[in-house]
Amino acid sequence: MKIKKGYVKRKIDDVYLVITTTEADRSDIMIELNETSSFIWDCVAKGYDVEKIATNLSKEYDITIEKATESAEKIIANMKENGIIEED
Amino acid sequence: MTICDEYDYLVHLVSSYVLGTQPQEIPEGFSFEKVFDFGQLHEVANIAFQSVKKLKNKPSDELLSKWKKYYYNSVRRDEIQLESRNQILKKFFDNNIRVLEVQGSVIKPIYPATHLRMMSDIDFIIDKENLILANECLTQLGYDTYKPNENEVNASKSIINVELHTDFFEQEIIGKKQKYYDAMHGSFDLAKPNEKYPLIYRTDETNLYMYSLLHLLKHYRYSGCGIRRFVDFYYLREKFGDQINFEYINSVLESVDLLNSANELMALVDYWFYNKDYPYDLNKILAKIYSAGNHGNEQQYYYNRIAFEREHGRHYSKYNFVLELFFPHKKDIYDAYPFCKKHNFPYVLCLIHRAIFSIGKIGNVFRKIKKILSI
Repeated sequence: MKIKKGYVKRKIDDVYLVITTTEADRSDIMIELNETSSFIWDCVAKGYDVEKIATNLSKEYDITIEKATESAEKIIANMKENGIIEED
Repeated sequence: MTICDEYDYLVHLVSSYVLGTQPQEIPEGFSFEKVFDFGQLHEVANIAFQSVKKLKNKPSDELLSKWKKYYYNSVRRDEIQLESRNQILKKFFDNNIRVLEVQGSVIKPIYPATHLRMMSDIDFIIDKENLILANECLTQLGYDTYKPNENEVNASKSIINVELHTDFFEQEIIGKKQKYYDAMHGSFDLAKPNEKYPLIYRTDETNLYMYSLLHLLKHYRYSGCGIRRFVDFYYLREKFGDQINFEYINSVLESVDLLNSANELMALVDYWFYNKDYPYDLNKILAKIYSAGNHGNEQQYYYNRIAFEREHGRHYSKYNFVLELFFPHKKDIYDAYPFCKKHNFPYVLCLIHRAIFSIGKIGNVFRKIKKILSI
């Protein structure tokens, strides 16, 4: 799993914004991320799998591994649906 | 400053953000829709959005969401332009083309965030002898290049526009715009190479300020210019004020008879951002700036041109424009059709050549005529 080429995350004021720089005419692709989603984005960018992401999430936010796995899977599925991450 | 209409309120929102003050609530009877529309026209809606967020009485949810999208889009545009700029610089570097960055790319970094300063084109100055090679480089990067003449290349790819110039201003030996060239030319002589990347040049603060001012004056005179360009001067002064040699700039402007016009425009920066009185005709200047939008418009250009010619005691009317559409100057035809220039066509042949090649653009000509006659 990896970040789709040409997609970048920028912190703008108090939100994280994912934008595409390659599909220049797609102004509809602008996704706001909250803190947790941004954390997961960074993990995906580092090449972590779901298991490792959940472990890190659990440590970072002091939540159970089950809860972290559930959140990570949900957010990753959502990112895939939005086409900003893809399988290797 | 006094807030009399939506344009004034837009400036107030922009200056509140720039100065870090709490903006006033929208005056009764004013429309947020108009403020947003004017903000887009002047390419400052993204700055104004920062102030709108602080208001107690915000626009409708629908408009606020539209405004936010516009703001986010300025971030995206900035990111794409930055990436394209880097790509072009690298390509030029690999091809041994030295380049001087001017306008937006140089002004952006002096804003609190680069996306707040919107930019239409990425502008570079290169050596004339590299124009063809640079044109090829842009083509290889996927740009469509058009209107190539001996002094300029325009290129575009998706939302990215690139302009390659060969000096700060074009030389026009007998043209009206020659004074801008006289004030500032010989780009690379007025710039220094980057230590790390010696083919990338930048001007010093004084020349950056002078070029920005001359550019503003030229736009103001010929096609109009909007609010955003004045915001540039606030940041230029704040960032580089003590490093700019204003005495030198004034002497150059004086020598080309542009000092009074420059003072008139810069007094507006004082009025908007430094809470000073405006000592000239405020209504006149605001009417010109507010109606022009950021890049000016064709109608404003025609209006300004007629006023300019008449100020100089020449009889000039809108009908002269219509005539010029059909019988332009030979130099303009040579610029547009290098083939005519190459074969040194006499004027009549130039007209015939032009007529043949512009037959498909007849609709455009009628649109222009309609615009001119509506002045």
